[in-house]
Amino acid sequence: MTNNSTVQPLLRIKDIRRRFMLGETAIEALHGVSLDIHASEFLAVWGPSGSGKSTLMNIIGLIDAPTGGEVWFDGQDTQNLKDNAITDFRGKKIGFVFQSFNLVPVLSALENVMLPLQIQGVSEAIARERAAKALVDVDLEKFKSQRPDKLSGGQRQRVAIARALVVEPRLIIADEPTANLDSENSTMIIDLMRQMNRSKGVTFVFTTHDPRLLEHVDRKVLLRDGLIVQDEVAHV
Amino acid sequence: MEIDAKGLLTNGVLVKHWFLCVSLLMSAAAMAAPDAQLLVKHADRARGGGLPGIVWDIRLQSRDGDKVADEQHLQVRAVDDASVAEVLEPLRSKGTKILQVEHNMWLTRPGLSKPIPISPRQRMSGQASNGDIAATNYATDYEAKLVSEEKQDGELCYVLDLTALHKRTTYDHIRYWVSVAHEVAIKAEFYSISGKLLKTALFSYDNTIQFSGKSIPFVSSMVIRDALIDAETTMKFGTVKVKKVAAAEFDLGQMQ
Amino acid sequence: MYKFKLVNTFKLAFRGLSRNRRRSLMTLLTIALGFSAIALFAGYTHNIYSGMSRGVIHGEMLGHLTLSKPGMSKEGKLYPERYLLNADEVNRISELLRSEPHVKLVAPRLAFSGLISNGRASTIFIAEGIEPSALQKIQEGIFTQNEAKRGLYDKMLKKLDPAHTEVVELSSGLAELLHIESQGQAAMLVNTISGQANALDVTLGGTFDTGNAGSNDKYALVSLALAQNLYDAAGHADRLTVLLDGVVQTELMRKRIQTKLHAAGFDLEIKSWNELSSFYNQVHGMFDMIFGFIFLIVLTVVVMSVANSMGMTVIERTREIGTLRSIGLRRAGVVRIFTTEALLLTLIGCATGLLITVLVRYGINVADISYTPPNSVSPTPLLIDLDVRRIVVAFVLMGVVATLAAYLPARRAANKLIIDALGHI
Repeated sequence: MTNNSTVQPLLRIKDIRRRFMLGETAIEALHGVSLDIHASEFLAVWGPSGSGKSTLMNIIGLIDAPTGGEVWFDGQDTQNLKDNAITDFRGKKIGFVFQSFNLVPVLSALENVMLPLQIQGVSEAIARERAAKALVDVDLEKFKSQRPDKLSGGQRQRVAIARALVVEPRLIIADEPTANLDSENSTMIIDLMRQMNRSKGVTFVFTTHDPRLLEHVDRKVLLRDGLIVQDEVAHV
Repeated sequence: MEIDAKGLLTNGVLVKHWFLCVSLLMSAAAMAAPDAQLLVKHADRARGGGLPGIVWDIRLQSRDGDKVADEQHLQVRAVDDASVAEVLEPLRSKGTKILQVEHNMWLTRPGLSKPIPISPRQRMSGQASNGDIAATNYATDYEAKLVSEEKQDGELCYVLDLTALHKRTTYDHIRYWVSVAHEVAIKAEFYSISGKLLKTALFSYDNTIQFSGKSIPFVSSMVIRDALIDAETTMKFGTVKVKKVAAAEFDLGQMQ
Repeated sequence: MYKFKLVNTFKLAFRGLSRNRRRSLMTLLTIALGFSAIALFAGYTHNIYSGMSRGVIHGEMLGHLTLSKPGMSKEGKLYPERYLLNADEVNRISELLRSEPHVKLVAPRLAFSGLISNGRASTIFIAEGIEPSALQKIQEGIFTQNEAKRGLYDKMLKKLDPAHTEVVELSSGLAELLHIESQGQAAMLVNTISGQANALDVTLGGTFDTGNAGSNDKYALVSLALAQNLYDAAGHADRLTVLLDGVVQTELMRKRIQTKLHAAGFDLEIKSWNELSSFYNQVHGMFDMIFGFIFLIVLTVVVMSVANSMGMTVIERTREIGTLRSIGLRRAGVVRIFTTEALLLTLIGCATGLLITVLVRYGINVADISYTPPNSVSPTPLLIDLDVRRIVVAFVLMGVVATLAAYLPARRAANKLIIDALGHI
């Protein structure tokens, strides 16, 4: 992937701080993180636990606001947007894959994938069509009527990926997406994400503390104690 | 002239006799067809009407079915169209007064702050109905018509039909037996508008009063019998005196 | 999430409810039972009201409207002569009324009192004078179709003979008091309107029960002609009773008639049957109050049940809420999901309650239960109607209340920070 500094980055965060109050004590999870992520990048944020990876993911994903610093997404300053505006923005441009899958248990796989589209107001027919296609992309067409409790961990995560992809987002955030999967499924998931990245050009950012998964990424960002200590571009 | 003087004389006497007879007959008829209204006036007087004032005592006994009430002793003062009766006995009713002025009636008792008006409805029964009958002005309230003559209790009477002249009277129609000899009413029958007999009253006149230098018989007892229920009231009148009664006696405000 | 179509919202809500079947079912049953309690009691009171209204309008012969001179109801008893309608007025007003739609009957009435005697003793009486044909017509609506079919109550109807005005009906206590037997004689003594004494012989045609121990030894029902005769008031009436073809017409016709009579130059006071029957109003008021209490209690229980149920659901689905927020669901959308679930649960609960109501109602109506209400002489069947109006109100209020009960916990969940929600176990 080329790093075109002349092209505007998809995501630019400047000097991000995040402080949490734990009773009377304040904990600074991020001390001043700056990062540019370009479109179609496939990168991992890694580091020991407690390094602030999840916090960084939350801020990038616009589901958390920093205590200080700027977040520019797709050229837009996201700081001063009202909650409804951020929510809509998020729904259209960002997809999420969670560690614990977070599928709605009372909906079928297809219905789960349709959900983000319907939230945006897409008609049921179109949502169904697009969701079906997304499930085909993750090779789960046969299971589209199954509820999550009938699927394996790997299958569930694939549904989650389909759900993230169905809105055609600019960026997909995956916080420890393989932590609840065995090594075989883990690899499979990362490969799937990479495949989607290559074929659709969707930017993927995921966190992991499993170094083996880092072999599959283009760029690795090491986070330690709330600061970026290394930002390596790997050769594929 | 020597005409048949005896014949002429006889004829003259006959003519005179005839003339005398006719005039006698006519005056007799005139006397035999009395002024009914005047009769009623005289009868009223014997019960207290048309006098400047009269005071008398009444002892009253009433019976309702088998129940005999305590005897009541009242003193009555009356003028033409008003009367006030005060209860003297029994002790528990002492001081109760019933005032009648024309067709209105009130009752008052020691201890009452205001006199109580007695409506026509309430005069249908009880003490008030007796008071109603005892009121005397038939001459002004009724038009009298002579109907017949008949003996009542051994005495020859004119039977008069009295028809009410206005609607303020209690009884629309009264049948009145007035003694021919004494011009006092011996019996009265009181009828409703529908013609139903409601009460009967029988009178005796053993009292006398002095008025305009004359002695006039006055009522001594009245027995009122109810036609609809088995009830009867007997009133005995005593100590009758003609006496001017002050207007103040009939003043409602002074009743206390 | 206002773009999210209604069908989808309900589908999602339905799925949501099925997450914890037992909890949903318990809440649903609570709502259902509460609803049926309201609906059954409303149906019971509805039946009572309609029975009472028939009793007042047809049994007590109040008709739907009563017209009289202003002041009649206040001073009429003391000075009747001032408030009587004379013959000309009665005829003209009756004619005006009969030309109106919905008017079934215009009956001149004359009430009076006096003494009645059997020849030995007398006692007071209060009488109603009414034309025999009007008496028959006004009683036509007393019975329900069922009761009329059975024919058991026919002897309770009062009758007057148009050919014999001297035949009267006396309340049974009065006939007994004076030992007057059927076809026996008595005399009525009254004062005419001008205060004169008047009396007539009467014959006892039949007796009736006033249903009230206090008045059962005083009442008499006589022909209007007899009343007018006794009162010496030919053609007069103290009021006009108007019978309409349906209770619902009462208010409408009252206004119409008032306007029409006013235009014709008559200044009359018009009172409706429910204004005149203090008994009806008192019973109605009392039952309304009880109903209000029951309704309030049921609503409170429903609120607490739903709030509890929703509260627990919201806590259990915090992580899900966080997820939905992440993928683009607005705060309002979160609130909507849970309030819709509560609303749906309540609607199903109310529908179930309605089903229970219908079944219980059928059971009770078929069971032929009877009881003797207060101040009454004979037993009344226990029947339950369907009070549609109150059922609809119950549906609506329960829905509103349940939605509100879910609102607070839902809002709390929606306002939670996404990262906290996601991190929730």
